[in-house]
Amino acid sequence: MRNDELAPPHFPEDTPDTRFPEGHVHGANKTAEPPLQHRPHPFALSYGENGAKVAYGQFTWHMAVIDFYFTTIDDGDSPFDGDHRMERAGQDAIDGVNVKIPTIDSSTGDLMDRNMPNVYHELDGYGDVYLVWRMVFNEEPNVVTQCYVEVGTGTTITDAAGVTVDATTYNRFDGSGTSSAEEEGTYRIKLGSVTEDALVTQDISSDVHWSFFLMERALGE
Amino acid sequence: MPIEITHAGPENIPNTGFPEGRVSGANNPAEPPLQHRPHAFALMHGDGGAKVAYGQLVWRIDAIDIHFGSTSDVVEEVGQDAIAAFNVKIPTIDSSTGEPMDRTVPNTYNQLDGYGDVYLYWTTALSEEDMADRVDACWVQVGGTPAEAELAAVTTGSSGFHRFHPYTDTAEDHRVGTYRVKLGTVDEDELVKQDHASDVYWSTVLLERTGGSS
Repeated sequence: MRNDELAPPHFPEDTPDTRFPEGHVHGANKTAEPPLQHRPHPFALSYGENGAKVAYGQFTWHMAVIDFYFTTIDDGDSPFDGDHRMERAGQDAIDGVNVKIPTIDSSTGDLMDRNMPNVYHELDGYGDVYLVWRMVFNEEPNVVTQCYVEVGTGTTITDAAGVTVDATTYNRFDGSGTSSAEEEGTYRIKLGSVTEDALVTQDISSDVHWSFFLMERALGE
Repeated sequence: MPIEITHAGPENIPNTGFPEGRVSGANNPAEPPLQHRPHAFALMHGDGGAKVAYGQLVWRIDAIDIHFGSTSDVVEEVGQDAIAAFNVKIPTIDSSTGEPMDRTVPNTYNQLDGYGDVYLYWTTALSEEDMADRVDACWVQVGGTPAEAELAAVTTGSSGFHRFHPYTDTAEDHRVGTYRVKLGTVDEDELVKQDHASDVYWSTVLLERTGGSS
């Protein structure tokens, strides 16, 4: 069963009166008499008292892992003895979509509030607004350990480092063969800008999804 | 002499006539006025259950191919399937066999069967020949049953393994998975909680093996 709730006045005739004309929505949620009610789009920006305000949005992520297994050649008198060869390959279970709810201003800030009517969250100042996330592989299955919205570029951004081509054991989840730069990364995406005496610029207007792929190696006997 | 400081942002912003949390399409630079749906999967109270606005699942799958020698069990070749574009799955209502959501504008809210936590579910059938059918069902329902069942891991090995071809060394749980994302919660006499407010994206990569001695 369906109900048309956002039809133009002339179509269809039996559409209930929502009290709001088409294209017009309201955050006031009345359970008993529900007019059209929903939040603005994720991460909607506006002006606050002393800084930007941002509406609820969330970070979703997906990680795929493929595993390679190498051995050391030991055929007796082969000229290749001591070299490595890849003999097996496998894959971790296929991940779904994971969710991280952002905090405000920093990794230790308050969580964004998903309740409706909508709550705008006031940030600390005006300027460019970013969504920042940090992943730490050895904290699997969480991996994305921090996610927050902040004004400015105060957070240092570092990609999780690449992996040198090799056949040695390498596993970011347990730290085998890794350096600290390969065990974590911090990223950000610009949501928009809220600047004094200027109109808001809104870059991202959906939940942010991030999907990546990891390689693991094992060197056996 | 005192310096006159220009007032900060909000006071200088034109009055839109709408308080926060309230947006309007009445900015009609040209007729007709803006008319759009609410955000994807917007939830609200309905008659006897939650209602949900249109949203869709967007998905894609990459595949890496590794070929092992038939006698040596050593990797001889590696490759990759074509990089596919997005696939779209329009959810059905209440179950995998329900009516599909209506994408026409003006928006249609879809009545769900009951109140509670609302999930977007999708299932995979990776051995389907047509890529577009490899996510074979997608629906919005109230309640979190069934549980999520990930596509099973692949033990490291060298034998043929190809999830797209059921005759190779795969089990059903390598090809058939169940996934879900919580969209929010609509309970009677409670405020709506909206978790997800966008189309849902799922993009993953699969390993394929050919050759090998076993």
